[in-house]
Amino acid sequence: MQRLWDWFDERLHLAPLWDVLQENLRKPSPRHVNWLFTMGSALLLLLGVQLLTGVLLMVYYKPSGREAFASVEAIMYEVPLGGLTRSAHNWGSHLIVIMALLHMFRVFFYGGYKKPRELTWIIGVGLLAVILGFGFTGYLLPWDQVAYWGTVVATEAPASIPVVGPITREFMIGGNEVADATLGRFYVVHVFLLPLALMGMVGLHLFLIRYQGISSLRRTDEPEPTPAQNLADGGKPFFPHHFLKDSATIYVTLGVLVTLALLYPAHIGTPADPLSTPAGIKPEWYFLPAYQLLKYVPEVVGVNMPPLLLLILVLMPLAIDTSPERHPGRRPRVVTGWIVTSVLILGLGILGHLSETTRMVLGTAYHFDVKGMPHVVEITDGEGQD
Amino acid sequence: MSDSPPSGPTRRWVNALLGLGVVGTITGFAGSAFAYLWPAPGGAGSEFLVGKDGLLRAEDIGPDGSVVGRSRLGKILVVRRRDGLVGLTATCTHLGCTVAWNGANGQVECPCHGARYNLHGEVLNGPAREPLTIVSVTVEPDGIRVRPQLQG
Repeated sequence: MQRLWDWFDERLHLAPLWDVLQENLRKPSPRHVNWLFTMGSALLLLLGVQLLTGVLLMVYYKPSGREAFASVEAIMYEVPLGGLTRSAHNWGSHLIVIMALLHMFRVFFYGGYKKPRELTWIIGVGLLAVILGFGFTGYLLPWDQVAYWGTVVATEAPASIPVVGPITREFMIGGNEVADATLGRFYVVHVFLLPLALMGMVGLHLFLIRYQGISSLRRTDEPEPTPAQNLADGGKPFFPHHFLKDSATIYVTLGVLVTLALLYPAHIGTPADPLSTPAGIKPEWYFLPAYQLLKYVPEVVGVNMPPLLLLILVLMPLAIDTSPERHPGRRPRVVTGWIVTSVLILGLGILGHLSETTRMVLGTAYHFDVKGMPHVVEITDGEGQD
Repeated sequence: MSDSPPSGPTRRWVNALLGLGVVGTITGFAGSAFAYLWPAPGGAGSEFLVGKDGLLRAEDIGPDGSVVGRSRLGKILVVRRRDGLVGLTATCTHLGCTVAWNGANGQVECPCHGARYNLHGEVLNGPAREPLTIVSVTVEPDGIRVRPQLQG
């Protein structure tokens, strides 16, 4: 082993690089760093699982309108462990969004995105957009009815943007309607362009986190604590202390993922039929707020809301939350705005989930109309919840 | 020889030309990729309505029933009424879902966001704001022919 190291060191002079790595690994984290700071690592694990299961699925998946549905069915029912692989990929996509949102909330409440770490946050918002892009493009690939019509609605919405909307949509889906050409485009974006962007951005995000260190709780107009000050203040070296916490969270996340994939396998509906739209088409849960919003406001408003939200996130540390305070209690207006917005988005999502279903609530049957408003209905025998 | 890069008006011209060359190369590649990705124009389609399993015929439509098929005019919904066949564009003007005929209430409905139209294509209930377009339907031995409705 030593000889191998020497061989490389002689040619590449690795010793100084090794020293930097060692120093970085042993750099003490601030004392307040706790289990909440392990969500980024869990996210990294989930992205790794998606990459691995995605590559495995690519081996058998056929991105054409005629073959896609059958190839997914074959993966699920004929390929050994194919069902588990697809389920893990499917559940991984959900967990990634949950973990990314939790991670973002943690950074927001700790004020970790403030000067000098704005760039890390902006790249993080970009990563969130990439993750949502994965969800958007991956949704179509099984080519079943829900996938097809969910994509029709989602791609039709941008067409309402004045002037550039229709052309953008046509370019995006490769024609006048969602068809074979759309599948080809979405597939390439899903398996090549987005992973490329993801890897570059994750690399930069991680580099900045390690290079700048984890944010302190000090005001931004006070000097950042040095590693020695962190150590004196009760902070512990990243390795092995925080590394062990990261590893534990990673294993728990992996356990949750495999359990969900085994207990609730991903399913597939009926093949896509462009001539018949089934009732109750809904997008993935994380697009439900945008889907529901489109029912209340003109398309041009609804369509621009998600990108506007991402823009607001980018602007948070640059123009919105600019006070030097990090403690959430000392930035009440921004924190209140964040919570109110989150509750509104959650409420829209719940309305979207309930809309066009009939449910029993405390012994009374309610039908929730397209706008999510409940109406008492009589349930006859044989009818149940939607 | 001096180590400093050459300067002077000639050098500035050469630099500008080199820069232009690089920009031209990048634009050429990007433009070619864009042209490659631009959707090819679709086929003209048929005047006769085609379903999943081939040409649709008037016999396929029961009393107060309907069919949806493709044609040169896009997706078309044809409904049988007592006084004959009625044809409308079948793509909801809200967000592109395929509408369906509901014989029970005599309305055309979109399953996605609940838009409803009458058989004249007029919006009865949002969120759609634009009407569906009426098309002319004729029954011929080869199938159901759909053409744009003549104005007036």
